[in-house]
Amino acid sequence: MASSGNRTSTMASDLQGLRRVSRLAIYVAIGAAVAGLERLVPTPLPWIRLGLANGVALIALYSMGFQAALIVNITRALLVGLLFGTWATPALLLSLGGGIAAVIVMEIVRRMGQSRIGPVGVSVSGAFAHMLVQFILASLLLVRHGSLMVLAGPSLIAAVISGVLVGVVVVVAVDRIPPHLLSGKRSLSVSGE
Amino acid sequence: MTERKKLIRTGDVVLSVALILVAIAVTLLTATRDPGARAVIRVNGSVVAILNLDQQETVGVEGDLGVTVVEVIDGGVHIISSPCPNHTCMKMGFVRMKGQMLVCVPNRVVVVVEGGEQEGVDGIVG
Repeated sequence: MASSGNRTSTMASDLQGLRRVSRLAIYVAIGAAVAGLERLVPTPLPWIRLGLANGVALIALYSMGFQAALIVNITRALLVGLLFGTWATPALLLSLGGGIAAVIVMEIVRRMGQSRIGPVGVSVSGAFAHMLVQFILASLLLVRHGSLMVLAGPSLIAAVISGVLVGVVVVVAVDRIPPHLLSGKRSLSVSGE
Repeated sequence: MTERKKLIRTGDVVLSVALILVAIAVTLLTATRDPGARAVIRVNGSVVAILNLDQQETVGVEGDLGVTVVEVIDGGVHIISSPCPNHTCMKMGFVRMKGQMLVCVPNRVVVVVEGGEQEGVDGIVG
């Protein structure tokens, strides 16, 4: 039999866990929704996209930490695969690999950069890692031929540009979201603290 | 209260410029301006046809979904019909330079423009 004090603390941690799961689910849903919308926008090459879904991972990383961002990106990639018919295809592996690499690199840059590198730099490094890993996986899994790398340079340039745009959009947007909706230890806000 | 954090910090600029320089370097290192001599068509990684870019020729290759039709004309190569849903490969248009390629991921068809030299042999010393 648990004491009443124990029970309240269990309830409090249950509530915290519930809040965490709910917020993760919202991030996954928003990420999948923007990924779906981006598919409607024509680009010169199908894998060049604005990458707002990665912006959602960026918000998750700053507001909930590394593990949460990793969960968000993996779950989002699986959900998008189910929704848009790339389930059990190499395309799913590419987006999973890219998404995982992006979160790992973003966390490393965020930690190492401390106050010198902000969300924009973290976003750029994530976009770059995402594109690079997709190219490495594609040449290993799909093409097995070095010539795919001809497209890597221009795609990486596009990734840096979209990384800057997404970083700026995320910071500007987060500044306008009421703080209680993004309550976390580490905030992305540039006007906070 | 600490000083207001900036939207774009020095480190962000340094990092972005460094990464874009890396990307430009990759672009320049991989770019080729030599006209190709042959179009090598692979399905699932194995070569199924080699077309000479000097001649006009059309071939159909069987991929995972169906037949992809590849045409060589005016020294370039393009995909003129494909069973894939998005037709990304058809939208890639003409390629004629060494190293350029056309890719149809759903049908597993890859067309690579190669140079005149024989593949696998760098040189023969007598």
